[in-house]
Amino acid sequence: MRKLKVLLFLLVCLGLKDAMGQRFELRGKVFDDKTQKPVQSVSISVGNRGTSTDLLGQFKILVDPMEPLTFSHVDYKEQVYKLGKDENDIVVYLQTDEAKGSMNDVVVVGFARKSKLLSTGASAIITADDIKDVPAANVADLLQGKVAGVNIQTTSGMPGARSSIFQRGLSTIEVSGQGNDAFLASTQPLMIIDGVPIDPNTDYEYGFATAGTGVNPLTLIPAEDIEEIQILKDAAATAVYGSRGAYGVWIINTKKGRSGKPEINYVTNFFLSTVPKLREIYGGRIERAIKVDQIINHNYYDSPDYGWAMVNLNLFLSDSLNPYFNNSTNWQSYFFGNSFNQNHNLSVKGGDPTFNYKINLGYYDEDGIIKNTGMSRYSVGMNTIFEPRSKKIKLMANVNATNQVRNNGSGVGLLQTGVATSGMASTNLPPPDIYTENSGALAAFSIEEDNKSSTILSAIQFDFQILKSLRFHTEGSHYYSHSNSNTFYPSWLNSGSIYYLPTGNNPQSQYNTFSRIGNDYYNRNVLTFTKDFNEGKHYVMAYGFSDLTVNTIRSNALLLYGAPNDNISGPIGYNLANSRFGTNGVPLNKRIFGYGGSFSYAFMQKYVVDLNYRIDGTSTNGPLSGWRHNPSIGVKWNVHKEAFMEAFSNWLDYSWFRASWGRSIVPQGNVFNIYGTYYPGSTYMGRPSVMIDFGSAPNAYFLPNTSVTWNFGYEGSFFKGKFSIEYDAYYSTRENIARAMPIVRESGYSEKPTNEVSMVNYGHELSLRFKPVQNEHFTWNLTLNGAYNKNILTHLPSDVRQLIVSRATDPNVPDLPVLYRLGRNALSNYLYNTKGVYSTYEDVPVDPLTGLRQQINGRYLQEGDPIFADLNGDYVINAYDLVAVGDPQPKLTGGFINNFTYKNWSLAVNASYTFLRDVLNTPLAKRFQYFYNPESSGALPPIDEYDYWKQPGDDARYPNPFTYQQNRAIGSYRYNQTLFMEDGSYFKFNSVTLGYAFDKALISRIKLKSARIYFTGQNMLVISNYSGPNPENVSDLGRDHPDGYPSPRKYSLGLNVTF
Amino acid sequence: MKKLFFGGIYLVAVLISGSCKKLTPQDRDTIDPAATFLTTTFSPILGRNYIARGAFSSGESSLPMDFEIINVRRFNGEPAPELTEDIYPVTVWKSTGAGAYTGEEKSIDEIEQKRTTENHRILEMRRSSGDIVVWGSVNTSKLITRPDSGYRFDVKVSNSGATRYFYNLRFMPYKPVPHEPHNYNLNTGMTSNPALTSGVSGISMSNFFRRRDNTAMSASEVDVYFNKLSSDGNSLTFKFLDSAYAPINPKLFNSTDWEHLVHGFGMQLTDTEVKYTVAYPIPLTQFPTRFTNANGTRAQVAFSYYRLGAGGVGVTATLGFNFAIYQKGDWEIAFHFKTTSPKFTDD
Repeated sequence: MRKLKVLLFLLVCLGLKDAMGQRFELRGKVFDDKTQKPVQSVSISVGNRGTSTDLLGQFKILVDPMEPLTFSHVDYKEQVYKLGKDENDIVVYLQTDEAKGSMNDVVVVGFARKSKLLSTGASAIITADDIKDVPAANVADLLQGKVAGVNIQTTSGMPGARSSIFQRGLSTIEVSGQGNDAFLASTQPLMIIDGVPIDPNTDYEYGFATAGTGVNPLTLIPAEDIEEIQILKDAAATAVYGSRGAYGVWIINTKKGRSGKPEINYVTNFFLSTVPKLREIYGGRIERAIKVDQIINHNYYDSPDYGWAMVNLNLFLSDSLNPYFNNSTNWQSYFFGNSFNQNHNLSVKGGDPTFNYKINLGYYDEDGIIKNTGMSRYSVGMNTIFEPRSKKIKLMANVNATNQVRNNGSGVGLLQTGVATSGMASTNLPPPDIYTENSGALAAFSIEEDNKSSTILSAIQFDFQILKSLRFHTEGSHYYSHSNSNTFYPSWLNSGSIYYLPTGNNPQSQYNTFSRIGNDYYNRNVLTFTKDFNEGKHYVMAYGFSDLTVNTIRSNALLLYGAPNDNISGPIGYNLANSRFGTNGVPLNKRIFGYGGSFSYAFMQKYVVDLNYRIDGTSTNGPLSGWRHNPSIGVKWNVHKEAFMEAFSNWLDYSWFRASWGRSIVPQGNVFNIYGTYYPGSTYMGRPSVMIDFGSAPNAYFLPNTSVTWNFGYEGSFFKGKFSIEYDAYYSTRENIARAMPIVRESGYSEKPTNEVSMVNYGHELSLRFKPVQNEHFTWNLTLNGAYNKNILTHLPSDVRQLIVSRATDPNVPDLPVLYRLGRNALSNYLYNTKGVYSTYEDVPVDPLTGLRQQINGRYLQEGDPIFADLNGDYVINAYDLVAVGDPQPKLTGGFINNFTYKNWSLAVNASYTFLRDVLNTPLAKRFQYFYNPESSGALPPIDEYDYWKQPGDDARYPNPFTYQQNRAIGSYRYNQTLFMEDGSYFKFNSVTLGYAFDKALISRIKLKSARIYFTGQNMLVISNYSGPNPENVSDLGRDHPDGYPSPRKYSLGLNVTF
Repeated sequence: MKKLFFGGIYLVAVLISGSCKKLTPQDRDTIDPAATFLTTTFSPILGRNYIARGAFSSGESSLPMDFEIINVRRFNGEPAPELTEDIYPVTVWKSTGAGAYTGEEKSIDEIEQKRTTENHRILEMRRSSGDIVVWGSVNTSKLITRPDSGYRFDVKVSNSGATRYFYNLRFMPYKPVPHEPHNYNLNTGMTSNPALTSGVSGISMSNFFRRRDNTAMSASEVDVYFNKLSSDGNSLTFKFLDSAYAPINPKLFNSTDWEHLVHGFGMQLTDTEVKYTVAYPIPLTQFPTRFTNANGTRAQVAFSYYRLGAGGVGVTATLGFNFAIYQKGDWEIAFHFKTTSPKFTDD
């Protein structure tokens, strides 16, 4: 909430005048208090005389000394200025009229700042106020549910983990991996942090479940240092970022110095992360009893004798008096625990409009609720702006440096497979110890991972006014990131091949190193012409620009096996034959060059037209596909400026319609797609040879991912800002999405990259803001937003209408394919349709021809087995019986924010929701799968609450979990069945903050400007019908993961003081 | 004015949501252009239930699809009413409610309750899976069999998105062979020899000794005969013949589990033969039971006896035989000890 106050400056005194009764010419300038930009068309009246400011906010008027001046403008609060003695050149800062607040927000549209009144694009602004009071490593978590059309899902509780961000629906269908670990390629929006563009989709090269260090660009900046985030949604808004803007653009600006006196602000949070409800397990004796019962009474041969033999074969079942097998260990308690965390942020700001500075120091430390995981961040950021009073030049420089230390424990990023496996170790085993078996457990909390990433973002911007209406802007930035992770596994923890190397039965110690260096360079030059004619009737802005982006990434991995000593952690020597080293992923050296122009015209501020055109070349375009031309057009009608709307001006603040069309791209693929892969071969006739790799054919016509968006929007504000509405409807096509397709063997190659996938997203976005009560003591603000997105696949390579991808090739991985079918949501589940459980033997269908019961994997079904729909009626359940069902993409997302303030107290509630989404509850399936192997050591979870088959005649929902051999053979609890597909809709209370601001008069005695304490609860409550652990903790393909990292509930106590 | 705004918004919303559907392709089924029959010639032995699974490769088609055999004709293009017109009553297993054959049934009635009779054409295609089915328990004498070129037929494959035709698949059946093992010539339907020698019969023998010289007897000294005594009956008889074709008393096979030799009932064990009332075919299904071999394809019988062998060591002699009989009738299986009878007495 901005305070209602006026800043008055006395700037220059030009000589003395004989004052009394002497009318003289007063000069002055009018600026916006917030943006420090000149305001034009401000009407100034003195007595019966009047004038208005020009484009640069300047005015001249004849005044009598001591005569008050009145400044008025439709967007600002009226202001009366009393001339002091001897003033003849004044600077006036106008305060925005709260009622019309959002109209005056300045947005970056293209490469120029513009009042929202004149902007034709769809965008949203999040300010520091919207994200305060909640500690978070990742800013995206704070934006959840706050912007219509931006779907943010916190898919992991790992500190600093990437959230999944989808702006206006799906942008790709590229699925990597197989089984339940399959993941969707990342298509997050381009982030521009203080002028440094950062592509958040890099460093994703290895997928979420593979090795690597990983820097999440949204963890680079402390949330406390962010002044505003602009989210550009439609093509008119992102047009000039066309070379990389197709997934959306976020512009993140850090705070700037502004106040005259230096201002020191300190924010600290102490927060407690608590473990959510974990999987329950049976302890000790019950676990053994269930297993023994399973083996004796439910074995495939129906033979207790066989069962006893099997029990006696397994010592951990039969030797119950052995102290080693006679325990009741709660393994999860060794892995999970509450953690106390803190963050501190200190910023120093100062200066005046001419020269100002800001320095921000941040420290953030969060331990995960899984032992030995966590993240700490040290950050330093500074910026400075120099702009002489003449406004002829402007120089802005900023540097943000961070150092992050992460600890992934035994997991990699999203998954904690090690913990999940060890956490489900048999409770009969003794607690973890160097002398006991469960080395996965020990590894999870005793292996030290030295995982650091350092980043430096630096940018410099320079503006020069060549002529009154012609400005030149140039800026350059550099983003450097270096991350590496070193891990040493002593021999007694280096079991099997879990650390990427086959080590055999008697492993030696191993040293793993991953290193990644990224350098991004960016340069942009803009020449802007701004002019208005006929006293502001016609407004013209035009600019031409060029921009160049260079990205280089190099990533190496060393897996050194056979280090000589367990006590000295380092690769002092290693077994060369068993070690692996080389590049990790594909090294990257990418360029994008673009140039273009933009032209805007506004008539009477009523009608606005924006035209943009940009031409791009990228190094991953096919050489024969040429430059990409990306035009866009936006139009706007400010209805409230029309004469006929004057009559409604008492209740209508503003009201406008806008529409846009445009095209933008994102480069995809790599140089190998377009030129093929060459490698050095053997010598031929004594000369070295170069061979081409026949895996993938070059495609010289390879294209970038292209998006064409139509957008229609309406915005209005009524009753002095008591109610405002923002509505957008869009229709967006995604074209030229890359997909490799197999080609005929006669070509010599096995596949070829194509650009033949396309899809459509369309939807509606609505934001409503209410300010029902605004008085001195009590204010109430309420914001509601929601977005509906529908996604349809419209084209596949080779004109096929359907493709099934991500089939499991590894027999140990559950087969969970993804179906692409035209006319449907782009990603569909492809599942067995479970219709219940066979109650008796007689219910199992019999093939009339062969007389055999229905079978799966060659096993005949029996009572208590699942009924999978036999679609093709051949009495065999196999891949021909899969059905396309469900949509893993949420269709309706949004949230609400409710703020109350009463005197010094404030209460903020922030919630988000996701509806119409199908989630595969694999943790539930896995829960029953734990009963698959009673002959092996492992814990069992209680399943009494589930309606499973117990005896013939039962009409149950879940198959008999105890017939372990049968279940294993036929996959009764396979993941890919509709039994486990559930509605993943949820409503989540993200945060609740109760704050108290100390009385200013009181704290000024101890030299404090302001002080606030607050208490925040985060991730408080999720309301959902979903029966799994957390409907949000699921992958983009809508699959929950039994090995996922649970989201903690956090309670924090914070203090915010300004000196 | 407000009304007008919201009216306008509503109009645009309706236009957008309404028109988008028309711009995008319909969600409909598809048949992969590469989908095809991998097996195009079907050559079952008549007289047995036959099913050819997985003949059609659906590729990336939407499943399930509808399959239909059309235009069945003789190879020379003449109509084939024996396949298109004639409908036969066939014995089928009840698909639901009765339960499958388990090998545990206590009477012929109990087995027959699990079966019923339906009317079928001899050659059929399962509607959704495209599996080719040939019914066995019918009189197939009207069919043209090998060495003739047989029949040709086309298949219509369709789903809600597309229809495709596959032409000139071939049906070239072999003449019926009533039992396995056999030494019929499939093309002529004639036996080369009524006796099945051990190489054909696959008979196994262990610890048999000759009565004549008390040396080890090998399987090649035993021939097996399948005799169909009548077509109406429902019985299976085992006989043992000595070198002069005179019956050997089956009771001499004193450790044979006669009650559970075959899944038959009403055993009559006499001095010349053992006879059971059985349900045909044998085995009834390919479900492995105590009466079949491990994969359930053939019935398995074992005759054994115990005697004291050389040096007073007890030995069990076992004769094992796996067989299948596809035609209903009174069948007799005879084991002919060609050279000499086995020695049943102690040494």
